[in-house]
Amino acid sequence: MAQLTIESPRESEDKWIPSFCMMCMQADDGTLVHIEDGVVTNIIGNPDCPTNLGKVCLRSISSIMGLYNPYRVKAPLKRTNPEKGPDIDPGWVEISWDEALNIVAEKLRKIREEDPRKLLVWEGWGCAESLFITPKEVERATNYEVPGQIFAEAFGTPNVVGSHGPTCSIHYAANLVHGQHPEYISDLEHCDYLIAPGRTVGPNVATPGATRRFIQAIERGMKLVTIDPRCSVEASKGYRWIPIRPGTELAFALSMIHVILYEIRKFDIWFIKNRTNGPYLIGPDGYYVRDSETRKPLVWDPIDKKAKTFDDPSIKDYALEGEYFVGGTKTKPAFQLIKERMKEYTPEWAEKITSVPAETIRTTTKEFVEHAMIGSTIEIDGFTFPLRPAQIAGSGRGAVSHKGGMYFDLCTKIINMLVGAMEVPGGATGNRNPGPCAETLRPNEDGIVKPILEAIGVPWKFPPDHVDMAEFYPTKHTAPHLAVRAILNPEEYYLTYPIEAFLICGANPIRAICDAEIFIEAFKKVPFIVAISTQFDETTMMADIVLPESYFLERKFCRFYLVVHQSIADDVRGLEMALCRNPVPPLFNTMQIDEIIIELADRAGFLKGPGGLNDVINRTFMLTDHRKLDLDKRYSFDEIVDRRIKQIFGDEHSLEEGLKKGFIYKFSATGKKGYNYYYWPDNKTRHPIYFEYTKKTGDTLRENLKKYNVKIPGWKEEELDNFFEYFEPIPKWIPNAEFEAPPEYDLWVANWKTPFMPFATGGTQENPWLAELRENDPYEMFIHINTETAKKKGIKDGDWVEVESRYGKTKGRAKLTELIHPEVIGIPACYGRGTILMNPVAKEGPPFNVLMTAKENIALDPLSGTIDVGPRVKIRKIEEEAR
Amino acid sequence: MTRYAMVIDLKKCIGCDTCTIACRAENATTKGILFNRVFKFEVGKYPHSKLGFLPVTCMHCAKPECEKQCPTGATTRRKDGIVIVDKDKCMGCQYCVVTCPYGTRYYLDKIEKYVKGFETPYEKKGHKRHKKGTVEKCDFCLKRVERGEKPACVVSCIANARYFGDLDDPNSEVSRLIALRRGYTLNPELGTEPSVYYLPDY
Repeated sequence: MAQLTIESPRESEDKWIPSFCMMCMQADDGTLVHIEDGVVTNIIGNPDCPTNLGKVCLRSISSIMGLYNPYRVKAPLKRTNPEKGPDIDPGWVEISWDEALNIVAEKLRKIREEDPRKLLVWEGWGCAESLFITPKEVERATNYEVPGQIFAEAFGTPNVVGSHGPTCSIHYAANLVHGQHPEYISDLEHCDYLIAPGRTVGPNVATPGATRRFIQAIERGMKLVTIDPRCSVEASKGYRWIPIRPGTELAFALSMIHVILYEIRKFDIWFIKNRTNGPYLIGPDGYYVRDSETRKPLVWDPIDKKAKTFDDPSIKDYALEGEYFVGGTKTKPAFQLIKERMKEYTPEWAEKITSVPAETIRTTTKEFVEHAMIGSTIEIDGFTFPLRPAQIAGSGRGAVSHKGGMYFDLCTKIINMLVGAMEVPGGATGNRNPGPCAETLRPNEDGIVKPILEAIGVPWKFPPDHVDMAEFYPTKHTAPHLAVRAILNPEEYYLTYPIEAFLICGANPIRAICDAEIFIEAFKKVPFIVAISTQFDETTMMADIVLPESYFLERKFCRFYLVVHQSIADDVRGLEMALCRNPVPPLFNTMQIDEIIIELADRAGFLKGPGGLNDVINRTFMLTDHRKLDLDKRYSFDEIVDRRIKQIFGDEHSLEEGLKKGFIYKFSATGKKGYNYYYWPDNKTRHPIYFEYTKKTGDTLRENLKKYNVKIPGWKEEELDNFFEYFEPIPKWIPNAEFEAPPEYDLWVANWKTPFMPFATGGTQENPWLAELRENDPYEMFIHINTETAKKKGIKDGDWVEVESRYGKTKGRAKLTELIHPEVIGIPACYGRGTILMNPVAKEGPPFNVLMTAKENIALDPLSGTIDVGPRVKIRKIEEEAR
Repeated sequence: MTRYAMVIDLKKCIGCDTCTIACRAENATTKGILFNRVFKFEVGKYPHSKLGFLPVTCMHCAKPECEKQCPTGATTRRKDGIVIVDKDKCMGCQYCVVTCPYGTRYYLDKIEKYVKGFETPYEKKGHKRHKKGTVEKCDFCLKRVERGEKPACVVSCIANARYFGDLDDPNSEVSRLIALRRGYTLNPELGTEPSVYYLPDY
C-alpha cells in the first residue's frame, strides 16, 4: 500500500499564479492559483481570460484536493506480482526514473526495430494536455491534413486508440457537412430558437463560458427546446421539454424533415438551389451524373431545359424535383430523392417510435421554420448575410450514440439546410479551432464543401494495418472496443502482427467503456504495459511499469487552439488563444507527460534525425525559419512551446510572456469574418444535403471486401447488408437492436453527465470535496425512475434496486422522480468500480457502463463506430442484504 | 447607514454548487460543514415538471433569533448588518443552532478530515482558523468585504445569479433587483427580517 504522506515545501509567501484548469476535457478556463506559504489554498477564475471571464466551476476549485490526493502515483513503479487485474495488488516496488525510463525505452527501441505497429498508444481525456500524444492539436492552415499524433508518427505506429470515443462518436456529420472538427456548436449570438436533442448547451455540466452565454441567451428570449429522456437543468430553464425514448431521435428528425417538405411546404429554396447539392442530378446508381468531358456533376436548368455543369454561368434556374433524361439515362435531382425518402416519416409514424405526440412534432417544426425567418438578411461590417435565427443541434452524444445515430446527426444538417441556417448569423456552425476562415467551406472539384478527417476516412488496406480495424470502419471515431477484440482474436480480425506493448496516456478504457472483462483479458495478453498516470485507476493497475505523471496543477504547460464547446457567441468568435500554466511546486517525484515523451524518444533513438520526434514536431507545428527545431539537437519542452508561440503569434511573443499573464490571444476572425459564409457567399460553395460521399465510402468498402474475399470481423456474412445500410446517401429509419429485446426488458436506460463528474479527468472519482457533495445530493448517486412507473413495480423512494440489460447488471438506490420519461431508467455519470489503491470513495455509486455492450453486430453504428448507449433493461427491488 | 444584503436570482441559478465549493475553499471548513448549501428539488408532474434550486446561507437577519438566544454575547449583529460569531466567547451551548429557523449555523464538534486517515496541507493550514466546540457559519466573507470585495459565493457564481450590496441604498443593484423582480425572503412570517433575498424563478 502506498504511503499516505505528503511533504509540502516551506516557503513564506502569498502569491497568485496564472494557471488554467484541466478538470474536464474542455480546459478553457484561465485561473489564478493562490499559494500561501507553499500551500495551494484557493483557485479562482482569471478575470482577464476571454473564455471564462473570471469564473471557474466547482470542479476547478476542488482540484486543490486532486493535488493533495494522498492516493496519487508518487514515484516510478515496477510490478512484482505477475498476476494482473484491477482488484489485484500489483506488488509495486519503487524504482528510479533512470531505471524506469531505460526499461521502457529498451522495449520501445526493440519494437520499433521489429515492427512499430506492435505498439498501441492509448490516449484519453486525462491526456488532453499532451502536445505529442493526442491528435487534438490540428492546424488551421493545413485543414486537418497533418496528423497531430506526433509521438506515434515519429515512432511509426498507426495504432493510437482513444478511450474517450466509443460512447461519443459525434464528429462525422460535422466533418462532412460543415467541413469542421470536432463538432457542431450552438451559435447563440442571434439564435432565437434552438432545438437541442441529447446534448448540453453548458449548464448541465456547469462549464463557465457556456453557462454565461446560456443565461444571456435565455434572458434575451431565445427559445430552447430540449429533447431528452429526462428533464435537465437546461430543460427546466428552456421553452419546452420533449421527453423521448432513447435512441429514437432519428425518427423525430426524419419526421421534422417530412413536416417541412410535405405539410409546411415552406423552406429556403434559394439555399437548397445555390448552397447545397440538392439540385445535382443523380443517376440510377445513386451517384452524381457527370458531364462526359469535364466530369463535373450536372444539374437541370428547367428554363433552358437542359443539363448543365453545376458551375455553368449560364444557369437560369435549378430544378429540385422531377425526372430528367440525360444522355439516355433517367436522372432525378438529389432533392427529389430526399423528398421521396421522407414521405413515409409522418409525425404519426414517429409518435409510435419516439412516444412524442405527433402534435408536438408538428408544432415544434412549425415554430422552428417560423423563427428561421427564411429570406431575411442582416448586415455586419457592411456585408449582407442571410439571417436565420433557428438551429437544431447536432453532435449530441445522447442522440448520436445509438445505431442510426449518425443518420440522426446528418438529419439535423438537412433540417438546418432546409431553412438555410448553415454557417450564417443565427444558424448552425462547427467549432473548428481557431475559428472561421476561408479553408472551412472551400469547395472541392465537385463544388461541395471539402470533407475532412473522419468523413474522408481511412483508406483500405489488407491485411489491415490498424489494430482498431480502421480499414473496416473507415469513418469511425475511436474504436478501443474493436482493438481489444482484435488482440484476443487475431485470426478472425485479420491481424497479422501481435501487439506487444501498450503505452497508456491518460486513458482508462476498463472503466470508461464497457465489456470490461474483454478489456481486462486483452490487457493480460499484451506482454508489456507502461502507464503514464496520476491515479491508480482500473487501467493503471494492469501496468508493468508506472511512470508518475504530475497532477495538472503541477505541469508547466501551454494549450494551443483550445476549442470552445457547447456554444459560441461574439464573445469568443474568432478567438485564437494559447492558455499558459505556471506550475505549483511538485509534491512528488513526477514528470509532465511530454517531458517523459522527449526522454523516451531520446533513449529509444527516435528523437533526432529525419522522421524523428523533432522532425515531426516541425511539420505538425509548421515551424519555419529560425523557429524550426534542429533535427540533431535535444530541446526542452519549454523551448519547443516557446517556438510554437512565436510561430503562431509572432517572434515578439514568448512562453515567458504567456506565463506572466496566463495566456496570449488575439481575435482573428471577428465581424463579417466571423462567419464562414463570408468567405464563400452566394453559390460559391455547397454543403452536401445528399450524402454521395458517404455512399462512396460504403460502396468502396464493399468492393474491397469482395475483392479480397474477406468479411467485416465480428459480423456474420448474412449481416453484411445490414452493415451497409448505414452508408446510404439519404438517412433513413433504422431501429436500434434494443427494439427487438425480449419484452421482459420493458424499460430503456439513459445516462448523462453531471457537474460533479462530466469526466474522470483530474480525478473526479477520487476527489473528496466532490464526493462530499455528491453523497448528499438528492439526484446524483441514484437510479432514477419515473414515479408512476415505480408505483406500478412496487418500488419506493430509496429502495435498493437492480437494473439489468442483456449484457450486465447494476445496483443502486431508487430515486422516484417526475423528471424522467416513464419508460426510462436514468443512471448519471460514471460511478462505481474503483480499485484497492484508490480513495475508497471512487467505488461508490451505481455503475452505468456495465449495462452496455460493444459487440459489433449488436450495438455498433458502423458509420461512426459508436456504441449504443441506451440498452433495454428491467428493474426489480432487491433486499438490502442481497447487495 | 450600510446594510449588507445578498440577492439570489433563482431564474438564473443552475444548481451547480460552485458557490458551495467556493465557500468551502474560502473558509476551509471541515468535512461535513458547508456554510452555503444548494437545495435541489422538482416541481410539477411529468411531463410538466422541472428542477428547482435554492442556495441557502446565513440570512444575516436584522432581527436575529441567534443573537437573542446567545447567553455569552458571542453572536452579535454588526451595524452593517453582518451577523458574526466571536469564537473566543462562544461556549458551544448550541442554543443558536437550535433556534435558527434557517438551519444555517453549525457546531464544530470535531475536525473531520476530507480523506480518511490523512491530513492535507490545505487542511493543516486552513483548519487553524476554526475552533472545536464553537459554532460557526457564513459571515458574508467579512474579511473580503472589508477589503472592498464581494463574498466568494457571489464572485464565483458562474451564472452570475448572486448579487451583494447595500440594502439601505435605494439605488443599489440589490435594492433595484428586489423592487423590480419582487424579491422575497424565506419565512417572512417569523419576523427575522433576513438580508438574503430571492428573485423568483419566473
